[in-house]
Amino acid sequence: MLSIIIFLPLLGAVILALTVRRKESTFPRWGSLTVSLITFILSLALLTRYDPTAIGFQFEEQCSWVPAWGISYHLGIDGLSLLLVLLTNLLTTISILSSFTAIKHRQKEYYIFMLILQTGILGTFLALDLFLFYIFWELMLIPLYFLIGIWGSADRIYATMKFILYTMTGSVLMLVGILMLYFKSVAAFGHGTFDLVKLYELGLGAHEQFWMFLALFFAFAIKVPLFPLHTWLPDAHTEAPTAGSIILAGVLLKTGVYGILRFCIPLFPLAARQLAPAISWLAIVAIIYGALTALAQKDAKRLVAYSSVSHMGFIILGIFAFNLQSVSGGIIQMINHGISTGGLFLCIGIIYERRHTRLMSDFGGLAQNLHKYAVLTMIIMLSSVGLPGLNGFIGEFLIILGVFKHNILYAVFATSGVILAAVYLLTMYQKIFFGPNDNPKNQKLADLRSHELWALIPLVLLAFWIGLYPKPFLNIIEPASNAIVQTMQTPHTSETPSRFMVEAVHELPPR
Amino acid sequence: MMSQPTVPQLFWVEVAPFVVLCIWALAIILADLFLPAERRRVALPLGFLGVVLIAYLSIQAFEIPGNPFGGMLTLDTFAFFCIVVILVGGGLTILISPRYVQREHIPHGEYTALLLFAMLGMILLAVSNELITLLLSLEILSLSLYILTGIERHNPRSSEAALKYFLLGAFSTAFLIMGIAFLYGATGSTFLVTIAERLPAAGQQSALWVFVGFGLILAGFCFKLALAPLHMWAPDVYEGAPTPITAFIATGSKVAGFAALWHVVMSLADWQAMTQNTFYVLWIIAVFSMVIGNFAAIVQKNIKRLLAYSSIAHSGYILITILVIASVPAVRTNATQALLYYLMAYMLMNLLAFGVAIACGRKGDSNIEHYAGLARTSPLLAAAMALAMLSLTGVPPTVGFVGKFYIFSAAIQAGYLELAIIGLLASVVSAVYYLRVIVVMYMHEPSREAAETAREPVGAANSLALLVSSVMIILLGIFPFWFLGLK
Repeated sequence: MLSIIIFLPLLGAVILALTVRRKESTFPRWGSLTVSLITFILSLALLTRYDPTAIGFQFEEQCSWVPAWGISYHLGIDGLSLLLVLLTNLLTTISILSSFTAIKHRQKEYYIFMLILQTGILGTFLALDLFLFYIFWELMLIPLYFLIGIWGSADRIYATMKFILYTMTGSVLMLVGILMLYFKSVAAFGHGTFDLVKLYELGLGAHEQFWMFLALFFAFAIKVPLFPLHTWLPDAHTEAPTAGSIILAGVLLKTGVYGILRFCIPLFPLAARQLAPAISWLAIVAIIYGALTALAQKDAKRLVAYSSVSHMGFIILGIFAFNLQSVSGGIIQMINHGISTGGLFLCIGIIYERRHTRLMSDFGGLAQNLHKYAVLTMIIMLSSVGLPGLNGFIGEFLIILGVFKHNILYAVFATSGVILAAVYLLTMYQKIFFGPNDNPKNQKLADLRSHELWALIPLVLLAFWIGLYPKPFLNIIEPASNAIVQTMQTPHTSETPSRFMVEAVHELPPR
Repeated sequence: MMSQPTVPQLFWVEVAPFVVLCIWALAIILADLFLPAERRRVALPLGFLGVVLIAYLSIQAFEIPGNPFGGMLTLDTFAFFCIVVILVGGGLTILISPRYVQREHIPHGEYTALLLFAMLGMILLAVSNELITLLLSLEILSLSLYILTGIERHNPRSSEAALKYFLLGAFSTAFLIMGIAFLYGATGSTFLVTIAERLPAAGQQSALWVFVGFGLILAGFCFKLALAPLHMWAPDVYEGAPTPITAFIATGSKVAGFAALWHVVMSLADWQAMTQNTFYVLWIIAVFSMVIGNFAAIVQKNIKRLLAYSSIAHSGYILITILVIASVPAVRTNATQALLYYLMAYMLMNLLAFGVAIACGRKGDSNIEHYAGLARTSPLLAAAMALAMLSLTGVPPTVGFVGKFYIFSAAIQAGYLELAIIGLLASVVSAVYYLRVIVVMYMHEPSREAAETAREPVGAANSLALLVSSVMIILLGIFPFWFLGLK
């Protein structure tokens, strides 16, 4: 089942590569939309059969791959990866939909790369073998490299090279960390293994953990991106085509957080505890720095990119507070960030496609003639701000609640990020949509076309759903975050996790 | 050691690959003499047939491990894999040659025969277990390659390259001979096995001679393998030589050179006094090669020069395995496997890259800028080149990734953590120039001239070579044990 989900897009890409010859064919877009939609439906089927009460991984698949090195093809899913898989498939479908009119040249290659990218990301979330994980981790770089480099805007080649060099540097250090871990397993078990489930049982000393944690964390921190390793992100986000930005912000950054949750913390809990203060402070710097820089941007896409730095800082801060609310908040905020920031990039992409500019000063008063567009953008913008009733609020609230219990100072700083987010996002909205519509080029813009509408509606619905009734999502997340908290053995472990969860949900505003 | 073989038939089987290859090459020269000019093209297909035949004979010969020619050659598993790699490389080189040979008016017969002689030198080098045999094999190989480098007589660059290659090559051979003399003086034998046996008993004075001898031999090998700081010849020779020959120098002679170096190092590695001293030199050479090769490649504009510097860097990666073999006996098996695997990987990726360079090269020109928009004009060639570049960078799921993974895992297992980190970071640097080729092919618009003029067809043989190497790059990347599980 999991293998089918992972490799279906790749199969689609191969078929696409082999069949379509004509340049003007519309088959690539419809074909790839169908494939990603089927993948999404399959992952929904996974959701219905998933048992949120069970502990550990489900739908596991394992077969030996390179026995001499202890490498196996091992897949499995838990609450954390389940939601991320759903998010990936949803956002890929949406970004393919959003590309229908935006991508005009070399369509076939474009959709092939989109589908390969989907396979790479899904594999990253589902692999339970470090070697396999690394392969998917690298595999997802390549299509994105092409997507930014071929279909991006003016500075695309600089951006794509910067992106790939940053991430590769992280990857090779991660490889060193993985190999060190492997040889520790050789020493401990007598035969080496890359199997994550077995490696979890490896009891390592604090000193050994420290360096391996750093090696892996460095790679993940680049992907997140954590201050001061974030400088690739604004360039890559800004230059990428709309769909690339959606996937980058929506899913790709989550692979970094996912890596921290899946590998760094459970494998090296002692090191994670030791380094948590440093990482938390970096996250706080990211929150405030990202927000202040966003405030200074003239380019709407760059603004949203910096807002990502700030929001991802929130997630990291939540995770490294190591209590149930903050970790759950961090995880659900990953989903929220995918929805809201992915949505914001989509909105900016829609207007960019019409006007070929992203400068906020080129717009103004769009609310007067683009009614549907203005309303939907506002909802998504407000969900990113964290307005109660929308998804962003749930995540930020849980994170700040958890962090407050962990360290008041952190919480105070983090809260300032929420306020700044409201400032820069509302300013952006104001500059684009309100005021006089005096630019003649803006007066005859067409409102949303049907495929754009269909791309935005699922995101808006999700934003409301998570904002008003987050319980189903929290139910899925709870075991995963509970596992993290238990690994860290915080003082709260004496209290039953589910009680905590119930409390957290009850502290939400009345619906 | 010098026991005469008692079963003549077994003896024949053991030496058949070498003897037959020699005869085959001579026969091609003779046939070329008597065939009418328009029939001479048959030489290359004949050469390919010869490679297939030798492959078959080698499998026969390696059925039983043996030491033919009174122990001068050793037919062991290591040598077998080296020969497999060399024959695959030789076969692919012949396959990518026809168009180029045709275009540049290179005489078919001489070209093929010399290629086969070079191959003979390579496979002999891989099995030679005695220093004089090693030297002779190396000379057979080198002389053939000197001539092949200069075989485009009308092209001054080709002649310049040949002269440079020859002068520096002869110089390095002198080092090698001197080194062999020192080893012989210290131990009284040229057989590697005997040297290994006599070393522990060597006195203070002899020990010094062994060090000097090994240093000189290493210097000779550094030249042949284009390892820094003796790598200066490589870019010029690679640029000037006919492209298929460049491919063969870059791949075949490296495989053979590393095989020979492995034999020498193995004979010295178990000697207590040696291990502490050798590794430091090898460490430095490896780091220099990886760093210099990768950084110098960034500024190259010519694909052949770029691949020359990249090959220097790759020699550096491969030298890590030799270092591990020499200094950490516990990891020796893993490191040897890593060496063999990487040689195969290196061979495939480079031949793919050169194959594409031949397919889309124009007369006397291999500037990277000419690949602009190749993805639009010939998507399959661009895809093949992209695959080669990604594999050289070490991106999974390609053979290049598994090779790097194997080498650096051996390095980490042996405790060379810093070396692994330096090497891996150097390979990130390499991404800059490998990916730039992809940038040019995929992200630049084709020049008007390129878009309008139809490229000449790639040709069936070259297409086959590109297809085979592409498929192997991916398959061996996903199932690495298909190769090492052979024997």
